[in-house]
Amino acid sequence: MSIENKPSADEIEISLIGTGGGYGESIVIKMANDDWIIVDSCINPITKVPLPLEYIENLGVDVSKRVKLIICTHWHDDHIQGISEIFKKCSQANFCMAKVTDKNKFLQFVALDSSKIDEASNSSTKEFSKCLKVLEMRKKNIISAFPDRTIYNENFDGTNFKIFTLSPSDLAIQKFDLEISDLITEFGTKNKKVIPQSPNLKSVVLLLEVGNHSMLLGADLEVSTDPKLGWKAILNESQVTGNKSSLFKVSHHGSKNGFHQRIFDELLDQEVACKLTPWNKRNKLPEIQMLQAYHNKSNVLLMTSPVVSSSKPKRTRDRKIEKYIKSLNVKLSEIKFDKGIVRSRIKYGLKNAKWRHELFDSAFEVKIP
Amino acid sequence: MEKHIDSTDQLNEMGDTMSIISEPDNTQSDYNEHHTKVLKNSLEEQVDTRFKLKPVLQSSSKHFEITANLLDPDPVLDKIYSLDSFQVSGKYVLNRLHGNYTQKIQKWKGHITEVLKEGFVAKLEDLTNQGTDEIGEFDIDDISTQDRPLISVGSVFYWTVGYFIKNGQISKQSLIRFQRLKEWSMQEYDKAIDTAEDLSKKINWD
Repeated sequence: MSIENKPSADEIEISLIGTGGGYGESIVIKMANDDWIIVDSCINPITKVPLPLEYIENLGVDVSKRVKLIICTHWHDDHIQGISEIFKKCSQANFCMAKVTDKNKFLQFVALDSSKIDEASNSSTKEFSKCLKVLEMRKKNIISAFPDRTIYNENFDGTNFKIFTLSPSDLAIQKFDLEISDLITEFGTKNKKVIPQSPNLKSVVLLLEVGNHSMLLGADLEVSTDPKLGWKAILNESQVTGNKSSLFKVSHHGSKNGFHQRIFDELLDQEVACKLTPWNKRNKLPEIQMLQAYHNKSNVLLMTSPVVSSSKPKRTRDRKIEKYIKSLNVKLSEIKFDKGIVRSRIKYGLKNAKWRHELFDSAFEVKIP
Repeated sequence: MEKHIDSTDQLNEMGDTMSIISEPDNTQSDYNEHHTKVLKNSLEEQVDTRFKLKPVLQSSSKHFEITANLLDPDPVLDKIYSLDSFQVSGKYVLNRLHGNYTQKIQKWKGHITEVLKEGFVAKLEDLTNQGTDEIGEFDIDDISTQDRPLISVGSVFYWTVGYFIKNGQISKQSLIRFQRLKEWSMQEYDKAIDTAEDLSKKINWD
């Protein structure tokens, strides 16, 4: 089927968009009555166009009216690039992000970092800052994400459509406040890019419930040794994870830190379809043994693009310059842009309906004998 | 301390020079001392006597290297840098060129993502060809001793490689310069705090 084909009225859709690892990931969701939701954002590094926006617009959806919610799962450059442009265009959308207890301190941090010179500012705070301006202009509230919160609730054609946030845990929210204090003290110089330490533990995991179908989107949440943080907090404390999910967006690019046996035992259906995006920077994810583990535990494992081992610099340069760079004492490797889309649709009204997966661009099904 | 002005990018990126091309007859006749004088006077009228002009004759145009004291922030230089070309007089235009470099040049803006025992890893944004980013692993020996204390996660630097022409001699160069900017002023800090307080009043969190 062509990528421009819209889902039918009796279908929901969860599409994972990947860029090959270095330029982020995003999820596009179709819920009740042609409502669309965008989770995180990533861009094409050449055109700078936000990919989820491009995808939905190509389906012929009027984003200014039909996108109802934009969710920022966490504060990492590879999940947020282009999100302010999406928010500007989606004029009916609400904005959801992890709960912040000390709002003033958080806003001070964003104001300070985003007012830095471009070279040194963190692009995530620039994006936040722009989103805040849109919120101010539209006089809209921020929807805070915390454990077991309902952020979307519609009834359409006799079916309930719900989205819960399962994280960040209370302890992760407290830790984030402390981290902001530490980051503010680093504002001695304007030429340094502030890099948050562990935003993955503050990731917003989403549980979608449509009729009797459940889907789990793991963001970049990791497993911590502290039972009050990460996946263990969800597994130990969540009150809304009764139904087992038939679709799982694997956490944190299939890393070892994102895996816990209990996620599969307690939250996922035996026939679960798993999908993930790779991480192709200096470190590569998922590692082969984790790919094997996810493959063994899922009915089908789909990736947006392969894990590639790029050890070469870009090829667009003048030959002489390229030769000279090679002679230097610098190891240079390109962060490749390798777009792929894993689209999954299901007829939500049918109790025993199965997911129909479609793969576009570099996306593929992982098959390990 | 006197530094050259980088003609193509940030002031403190590299020790390059800014060129002036006289127009419209920049290929005509011999180098003319009178021209230099006129140009120098018109520049000095509009900019500042701190700029020093040194005429350099090149094959296709008349170039003038400018050096300036860059220790203090300079609004005139800022103005020049904010423009692609700076009208010096009705007759002369100050162009942003590649200074002494030829067109064969490659520039990156990097920020350090990891510090290693004898070097560092950085994410590099290609300023010459745009598009995709790169990861570079650098050796500490290639960083000047003055810049080494600046090596830490998050530090921003510029890396330029190219073919350099000086006094007719061509040489290859790789330059890494870390950004050095002045500390935040109390006014800048207060402004950010005010912005935050203002936003805090206007935006509610459910």
